[in-house]
Amino acid sequence: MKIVTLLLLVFFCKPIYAEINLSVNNAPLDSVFQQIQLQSEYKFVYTSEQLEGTHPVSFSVKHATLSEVLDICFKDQPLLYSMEDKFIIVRRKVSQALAVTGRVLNENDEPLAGATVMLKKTNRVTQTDANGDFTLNEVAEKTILVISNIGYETKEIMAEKNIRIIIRLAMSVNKLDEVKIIAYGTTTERLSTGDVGTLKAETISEQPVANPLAALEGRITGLNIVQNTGVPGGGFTVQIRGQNSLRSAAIGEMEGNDPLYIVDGVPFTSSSLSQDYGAAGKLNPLNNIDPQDIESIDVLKDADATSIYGSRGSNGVILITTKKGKAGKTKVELNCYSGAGVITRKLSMLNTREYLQMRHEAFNNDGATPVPGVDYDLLTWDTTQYTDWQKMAIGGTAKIADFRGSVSGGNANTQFLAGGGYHRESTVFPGDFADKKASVHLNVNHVSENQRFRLYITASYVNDNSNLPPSDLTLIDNLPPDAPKVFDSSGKLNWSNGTFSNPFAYLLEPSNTITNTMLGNAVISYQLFPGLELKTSLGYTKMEVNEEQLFPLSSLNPAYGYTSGYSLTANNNVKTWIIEPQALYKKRIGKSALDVLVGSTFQENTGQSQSFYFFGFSNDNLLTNIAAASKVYVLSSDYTDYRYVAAFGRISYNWDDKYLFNFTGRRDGSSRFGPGKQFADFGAAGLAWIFSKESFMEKVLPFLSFGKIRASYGSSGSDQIGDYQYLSTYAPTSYIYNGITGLLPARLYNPNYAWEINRKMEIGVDGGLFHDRVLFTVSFYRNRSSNQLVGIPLPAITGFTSIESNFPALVQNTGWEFSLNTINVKTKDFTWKTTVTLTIPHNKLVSFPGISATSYNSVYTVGQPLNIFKGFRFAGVDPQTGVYQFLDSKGKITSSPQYPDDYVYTQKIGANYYGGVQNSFRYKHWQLDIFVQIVNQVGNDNNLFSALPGTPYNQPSVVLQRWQKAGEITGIQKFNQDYSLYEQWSDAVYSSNQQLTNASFIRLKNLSLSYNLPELLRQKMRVKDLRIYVQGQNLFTVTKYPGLDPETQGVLPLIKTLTAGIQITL
Amino acid sequence: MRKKYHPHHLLLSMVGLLLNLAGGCAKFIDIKPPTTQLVTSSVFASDAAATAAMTGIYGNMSGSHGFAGQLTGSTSLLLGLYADELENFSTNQNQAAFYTNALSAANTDVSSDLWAQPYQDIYDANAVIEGLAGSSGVSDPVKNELTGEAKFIRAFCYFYLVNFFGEIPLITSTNYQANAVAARNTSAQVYDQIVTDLQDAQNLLPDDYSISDGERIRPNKAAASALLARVYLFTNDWTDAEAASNAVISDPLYSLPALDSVFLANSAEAIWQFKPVLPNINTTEGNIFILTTTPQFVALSNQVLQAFEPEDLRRTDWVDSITVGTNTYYYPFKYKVKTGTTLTEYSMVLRLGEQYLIRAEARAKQGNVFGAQSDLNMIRQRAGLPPTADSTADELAVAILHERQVELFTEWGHRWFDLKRTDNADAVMEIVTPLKGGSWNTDFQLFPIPKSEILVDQQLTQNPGY
Repeated sequence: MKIVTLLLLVFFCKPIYAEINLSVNNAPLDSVFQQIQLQSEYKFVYTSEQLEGTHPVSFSVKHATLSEVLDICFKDQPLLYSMEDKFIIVRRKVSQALAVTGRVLNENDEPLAGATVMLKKTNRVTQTDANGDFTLNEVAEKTILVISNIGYETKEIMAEKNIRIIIRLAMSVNKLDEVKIIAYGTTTERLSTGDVGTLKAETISEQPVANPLAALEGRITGLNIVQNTGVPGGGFTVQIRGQNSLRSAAIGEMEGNDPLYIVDGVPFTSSSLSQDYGAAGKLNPLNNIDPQDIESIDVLKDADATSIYGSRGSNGVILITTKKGKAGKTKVELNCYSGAGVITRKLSMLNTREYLQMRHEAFNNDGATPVPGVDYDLLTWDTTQYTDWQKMAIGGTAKIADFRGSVSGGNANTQFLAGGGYHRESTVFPGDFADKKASVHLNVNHVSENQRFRLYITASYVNDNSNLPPSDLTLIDNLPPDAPKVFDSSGKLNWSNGTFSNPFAYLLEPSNTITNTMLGNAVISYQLFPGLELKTSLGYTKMEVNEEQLFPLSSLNPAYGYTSGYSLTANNNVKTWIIEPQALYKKRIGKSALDVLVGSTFQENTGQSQSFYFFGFSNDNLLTNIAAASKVYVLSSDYTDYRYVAAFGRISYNWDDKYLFNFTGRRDGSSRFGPGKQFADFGAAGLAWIFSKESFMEKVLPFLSFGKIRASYGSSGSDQIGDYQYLSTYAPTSYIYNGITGLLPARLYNPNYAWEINRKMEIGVDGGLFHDRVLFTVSFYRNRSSNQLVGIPLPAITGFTSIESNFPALVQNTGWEFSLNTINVKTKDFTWKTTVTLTIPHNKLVSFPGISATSYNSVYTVGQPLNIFKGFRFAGVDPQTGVYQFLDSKGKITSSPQYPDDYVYTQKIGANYYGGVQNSFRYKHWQLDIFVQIVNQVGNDNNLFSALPGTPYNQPSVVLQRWQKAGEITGIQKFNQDYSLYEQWSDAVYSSNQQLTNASFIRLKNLSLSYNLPELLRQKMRVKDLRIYVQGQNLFTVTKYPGLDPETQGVLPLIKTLTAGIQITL
Repeated sequence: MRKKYHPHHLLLSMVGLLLNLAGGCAKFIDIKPPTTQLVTSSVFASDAAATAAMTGIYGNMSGSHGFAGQLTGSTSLLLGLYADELENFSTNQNQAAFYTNALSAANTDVSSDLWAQPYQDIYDANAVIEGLAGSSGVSDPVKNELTGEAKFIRAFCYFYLVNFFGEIPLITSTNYQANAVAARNTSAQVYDQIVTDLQDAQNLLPDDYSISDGERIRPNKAAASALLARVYLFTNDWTDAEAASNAVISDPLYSLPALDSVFLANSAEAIWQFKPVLPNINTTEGNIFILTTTPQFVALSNQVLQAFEPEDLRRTDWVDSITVGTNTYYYPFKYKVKTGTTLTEYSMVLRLGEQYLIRAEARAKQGNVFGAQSDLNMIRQRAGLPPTADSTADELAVAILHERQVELFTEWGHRWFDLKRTDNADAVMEIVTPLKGGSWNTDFQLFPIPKSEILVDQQLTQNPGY
């Protein structure tokens, strides 16, 4: 409180009945008071401060009473007076208690429900209702109201008169306050104790991609995504903070490193349901989520964020939240784009002249001559013919088209969103192949008038129709360039009398995959009393894959003697339901806030699959009608059931937004484990200290606007293994022998294996400088995964090649993650923002007792990363003989290195570091975003050579550097066609470090330029919003990689696409 | 007075409730076995399911197991290439290595088709033997029948394994912990086990084929005897070889039909055949060998073509050719059906012709020249050839080896095994291998133990030369 100087003025005055005659003009009150005192016997009691802000008075009275004069003086003054004894006591008018009512809206005039309205002085708080309305009674005049809402900029406003206030909150430009979705709730960067990376709809929508994973690539620290093929619908390898499990698809096992995907609260399968029929391989399941329906993707990385997912959180969690309806006028949004794509890179191959030279040289080297009936390329085919098979196979232009529309709106109580989209992406292969996707997305939210009952319903349906050739035609670039024409004069496939295994038969053998994905989620909550909310989340997903692969007679090589066409079909579906009852309790006392969550999960996944062969179609046109087959042959019929039950809890405590504590725990039970091994407990603690809120920090580092140190430690697990592995069962075979369907042992069984445990530790610093214009995050993590659940390799003499078991191997992932967000320029017309991310991962196999007795010995080395190359030591080409040579274990030159003694070369492969740089420019109505992806990695180029150079397969031009005569020093051994040098070649190319190469690349991953029509034009056109844009993906790649594409390596390169589109909002 | 509830109490009771709910639902995750599979205990609880477990082995052998006849991984094809019976036309490196006698320990045809698959069948047979031994739900006749069949299959697989690889681990239980560290047993030990199993099978198996409605597709007593005769022949036990083959030859169920009927389903010559299970084709032999254009896999070698005597009907009945452009390719034509869904031919495993040749050889080795001649002439006579002119035991031994070449060509690797067991392999291969573009080494008589196996089971050792 201010010190008040009290001036007590005591005057002797005349009696009250005395008449007063006074005339003043614009006189200050105190001078008037003094004159009045002279004419009466009353004295004024007041302080000079009380008179502050009073206005001077002008009047003229004759024979007036004291009361009359005082009334004139105090009129419209913030003062009151009272007469006691002979004193006139002046008081400041007590500021009037107001009843403040108002409505909080966002920039689009849509009400913001749940926004916090706080009185700055007293910390009294209320929240807005679904209409955005709030009322605060008994508010002193001129009190400052602080209005805040997660995701919006906080606004302060002064309470003045009894009028309704409309407050518009701007979307937060401060990234610290953007909403982040976490397990069973939300948080912000500012108040989070864990590590969560977020990608918002605006960034996703800038990318013309069909799979959300493609949009995530390179964007988030710690999330390494590699696109495995450029064929639409194909696979991705996704790892959050490295490889935790020894089980990896890369070494031919069931993948154990997939993150947990959760879409609107419902777990979504990470493993493909499709067979490996088409050119894309197994289709990626995330392809069945329309990226444009996504509001945000949140990547949970550390123990604090993932332990609440217990047994499924080991490899991190990716939360996908779809778009929701918002209150406001009904809004219709239409968006369409189309464009084209070609492969990012081509390989230089030999032309016919060079090819024939290679072949003849090979025969010379071998002292042999071409053999009739074998060496067709030299003796049978037209050697003047030249076909660029690469161009024929993958040189086409893919066409992309995308249309979508949505309607949204609603009032304060009920909001809705209904949208649909269609995306078509053809391939660079010849022929009419494409991946088509139609999607529907619906959302309805309702809240009762009294705000206590809430209901959210989201449903989506995606139909994906993939029509692809059966094989990736990239692989045919090794056809001899003089191979015959693909079609004969009558337009039929040319088999050239059986001398040409015509790969264009693939064009007649379409692989059709139809995937229907249904996703439904409902959240019902009821506020029992303020602070306690009961909530249940109900979810259901069904993914159904129906595939067929047709082999019409016209496509079949006559050499195999087929008399009719045949088809393969597979049907596979998985259904998941999940129920998660929860109770949330919130308590705010003074500066402390406590949040408690308890809940439980019940989940069941059931899967069914069948696959069949159908034979004996009388006509190729009937191939899709299985009723026309004369014989059916069941390849497989499977059923799986997985059930999961859990109880979980979280206690979060926040003191003054300064000290944050977060404790999570979960008890999990899974049917994938045998009796007695089904349950396990997981838990984590996260702490954060926002030191920038300490008063001393403001003095020490005034430019630091935000600073937080956080740490977390905890455990999570993995049950990514097959179902029923603990059961001893017999399964039917697909061969019916004499009318009996046989039964065979399904597996070796082990009832004793248990959970894989991953202990995660993280320390991080989040900071903001210069009023948060520069935001940075530095995190260090160390995850240790033990009790590895692996198929322990067994010799085939046991009847099987592995048995599911725990192994005491310990895998460690450590790493540094950096991210930097800066607002470089911010003026009314021009904004320039930059985001830089960098991840430096390290992976190490810390221990693996008895590794030498397992086949993992050939893949892994203790003390080295899991992703290493092991092999022979390459020693170039012997200048005398022209044959590859190697160093044996003692360092001596040898041409036949021995396994395992000489198999001693090890080198880390895979990413050394990866990251990206995003620059966003906005100038008036123009917006330009440029994203550059950076990956530094060692890869291999053994895919470059698909066959021994010299044999009847085309080769990349680099083979022209081969050894030709004694004394030559070169890196490629002499041509050979009788396979006598095959061993040396395959040792060099597949088993030695010769294949290792720099596969680093810098890629202009995304470029998006858009123009928003100015207001005036929009009004003329009667549209709310109109945006025209151009987008490009994978536009430019800088790399030293000698093969096709450094990311997909051996298979179809990524597609560089350029699209243009328009978005209209009505 | 109304009791005032306190939020904390409610919260605590909620937590308790939820935890109870989860705890009480431990049962929730006790799932039933998959509806598409049977738990092992119920397999050996009924005659039908137990029979299906045995049938599964035949289905696998006939349908997907290379060594037993599946397509390009078959013993007939790979060993035909390895010896001097087939010419390679495939660009597949694994197959080409068989042709040039240049196998590596990493060859996947070796590790999968010739090693892992027979061992898988052995595991399955061991599981049947163990399952039946502990079963009370299977009737005694079925139990005997199936045990006999399983033992027969186990012996059959070991016969091929020991001849492919030499010393091999002898696995007779399903205990994977013990089996995973098994070392190689001597060939004698393996043969002892084979003989024991086949003798048990002789006792357990029925005389006829009534169990499969007359179809000769499950081994019976004669099959056990026939394989036993071959085993005795390979171990130079001439008396027992003669006795065992005698038992089959004297069985009226079997006779020598005309050349074009030998490989028909349930032909009079068949002792044991695999019924085809793959769609769209009859036998894989017919499917692979018969040419309609330039060969994609193999064609018949010159060595086989030249081995036929001029009048030999097998040269015309069992060999055919196709001319593409100026090139003529010959192919084995024992099986006449390349594709087709109506089954007329079954894949022959054991047939009477071989038994005559076994007895002929056993008799010749014991000095019974007349007996040997008459058995040999049975085969020659059917092929339209005059009786043999050879009249000494040694001459006859050579003549029988030659007769086996032209009678049993491209069947089950007979030629390769004959070259080996008669010590002719080095002499023949030193000429043939260079013609095929390779170079011969006597170590190559045994195939390499797969590299992947030695890696995992460190008790295993590699054969010399690899």
